[in-house]
Amino acid sequence: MTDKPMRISFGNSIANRVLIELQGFLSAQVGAQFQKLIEVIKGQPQKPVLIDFSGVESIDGSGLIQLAVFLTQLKNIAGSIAGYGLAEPMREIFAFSHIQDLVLIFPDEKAALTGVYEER
Amino acid sequence: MINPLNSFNTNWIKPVEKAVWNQNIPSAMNINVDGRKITSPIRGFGQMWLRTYRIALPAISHTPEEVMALWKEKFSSFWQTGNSIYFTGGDIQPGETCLINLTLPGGIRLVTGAVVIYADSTSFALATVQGHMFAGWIVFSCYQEGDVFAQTQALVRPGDLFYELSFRLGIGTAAEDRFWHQTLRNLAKYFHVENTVQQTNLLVDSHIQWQYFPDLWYNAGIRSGVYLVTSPLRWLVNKFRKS
Repeated sequence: MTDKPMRISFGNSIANRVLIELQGFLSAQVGAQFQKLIEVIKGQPQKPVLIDFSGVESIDGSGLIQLAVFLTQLKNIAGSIAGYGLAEPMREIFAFSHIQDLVLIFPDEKAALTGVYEER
Repeated sequence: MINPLNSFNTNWIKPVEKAVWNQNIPSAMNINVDGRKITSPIRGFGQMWLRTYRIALPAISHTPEEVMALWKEKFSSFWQTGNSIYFTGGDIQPGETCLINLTLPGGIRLVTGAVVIYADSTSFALATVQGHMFAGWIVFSCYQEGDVFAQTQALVRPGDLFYELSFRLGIGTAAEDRFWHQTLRNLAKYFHVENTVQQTNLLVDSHIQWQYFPDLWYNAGIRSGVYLVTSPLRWLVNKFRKS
């Protein structure tokens, strides 16, 4: 495991979408940060959400649970979620765990933005 | 610092869709596991719940790694009498399949399984197989938060309509809670600790996913019952074949 803790950046400066950047090690500790983020997004008009996974270095079993909870809640609020920047091992985890049912995966931000609007 | 790519390679299961169980344990019913799809809480029938059970182990001299190593080694022995889990390799490693024999209230036998999808020195995660009471993941972990804690966390959806009804009526939830409370108390007792289990429940998604209604076909409870009722017939058939 990596010892780099999870950091979440939440950008809302672009009017037509919410951008979330995940960095570091996804583990149990990220649950509280995700719940705070859900409360923030709940209080806003519905917009598509983009998640940049390129900074995610690793994930453990507890992190997978926290991510699934977060994405399930987020999908119920935001409707459409698109992700990009996934390393190959993360792609494999997303595939066998079916996390990819919750978030559309694209190679980069531009494709994700196009894709998420097509989905809506 | 450990290379994160190595942790992906060594701690996670290689992508597989189905469980493989090709052993015959004489003391167990060996059904409902081989060839079953590995489930996910994202593709289950009922409401999605996050249920967390944890117990503090105050004043023990062991690290979370040591507690987890012992928990893995004696995993089945901490379960309530009448319930057993067998691992293909006898060890808890990513990719290992396990056979679970449970005794439900009223003495009903239920046979199902799970697959180890993740393991490291302080935690491991199981994904249930199709037909299990729940579609989901259960993570067992040990960590330091002042005291050392042992925790079981389940992100699950009841696997079919019957299991969902048992959850709504409180029968399934009561059995599940009793099981994990007792397991954690048994683990604590091993370290000479008497403590109560702290529990939190979070309803993550209240929607029913009707597209998974056909999973009822694989209901391990029904299949285990049918298997038991028809066992005299199988015994007779085997006897005739041998003669």
